[in-house]
Amino acid sequence: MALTMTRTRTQTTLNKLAEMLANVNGELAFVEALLQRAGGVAAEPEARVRLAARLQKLTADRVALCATIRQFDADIDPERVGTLEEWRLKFGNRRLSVGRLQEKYAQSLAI
Amino acid sequence: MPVPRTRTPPDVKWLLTERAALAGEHARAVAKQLVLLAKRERLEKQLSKVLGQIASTETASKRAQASLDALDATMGLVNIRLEPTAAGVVDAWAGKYGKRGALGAFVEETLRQAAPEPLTTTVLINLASRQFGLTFTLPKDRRNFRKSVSSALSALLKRDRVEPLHSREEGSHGLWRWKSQVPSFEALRLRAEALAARRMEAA
Repeated sequence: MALTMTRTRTQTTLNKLAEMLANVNGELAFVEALLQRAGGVAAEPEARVRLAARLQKLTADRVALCATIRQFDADIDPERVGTLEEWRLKFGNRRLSVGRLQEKYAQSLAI
Repeated sequence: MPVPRTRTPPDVKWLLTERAALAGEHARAVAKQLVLLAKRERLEKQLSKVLGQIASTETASKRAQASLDALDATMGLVNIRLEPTAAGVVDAWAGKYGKRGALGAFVEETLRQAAPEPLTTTVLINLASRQFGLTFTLPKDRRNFRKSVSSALSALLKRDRVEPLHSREEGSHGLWRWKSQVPSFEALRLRAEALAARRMEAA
């Protein structure tokens, strides 16, 4: 099947949406895990409030992305999109330790 | 033997004529009431249908608004400076008649099956609306659908699949017939004559 302009645009859009959803899924799992832990960066009440607000925002983003993908193609099930960890890159390289990442993440929410 | 003439007393005469007049008035009122009751029943059915359609447009509007909100939120994630309304509002093709080209294919198939009998545009509109389960709440909806059917017919005309049996210039009611792809006897005769003439020249 030839890659016409329309088809290229369509495929790129779908890739981008799925990638965004996968990253939101990844970050969502990260925040949920943080909130489930009693210690660490989630020990402070203020940090917990910020993490809970971030969790709420990510959940809303996830709902919006799923609806957008369904609008794009009703036959695609967005629930089957997995997770990506590309979102971590803005906090440093991939080799960042989990503890350091959690610290940096909590700091970014405090700003 | 002559029948003796009797004189109707005036009071009886008045009572009889007055009663007859009142009976006429009563009959007219009953007849009118029956007509109005039938009208009320018809209007109630129409009202019920319109209320149902209002409810379904409300549902469709809510669904579209939810999708709009989702797309706006996604746009915010893609680029915070992106203005969601930048592309304006367009009346896009919405798959009203099944998959793309379904209406044209239906019109083509209906005319082909009816051949050699022609069909009017109105008949085609009615058949197509039944096929795609369309109801026209407003006259504008029907006019729009007529345009869609007419453009499907024009496309078939361009492809030389149908022929109009009406005067297109005068804007009379459309009458269309499937154009047979089998050559007519006259065309076959002319072709045979041309072939024979070429053979004669060659000989």
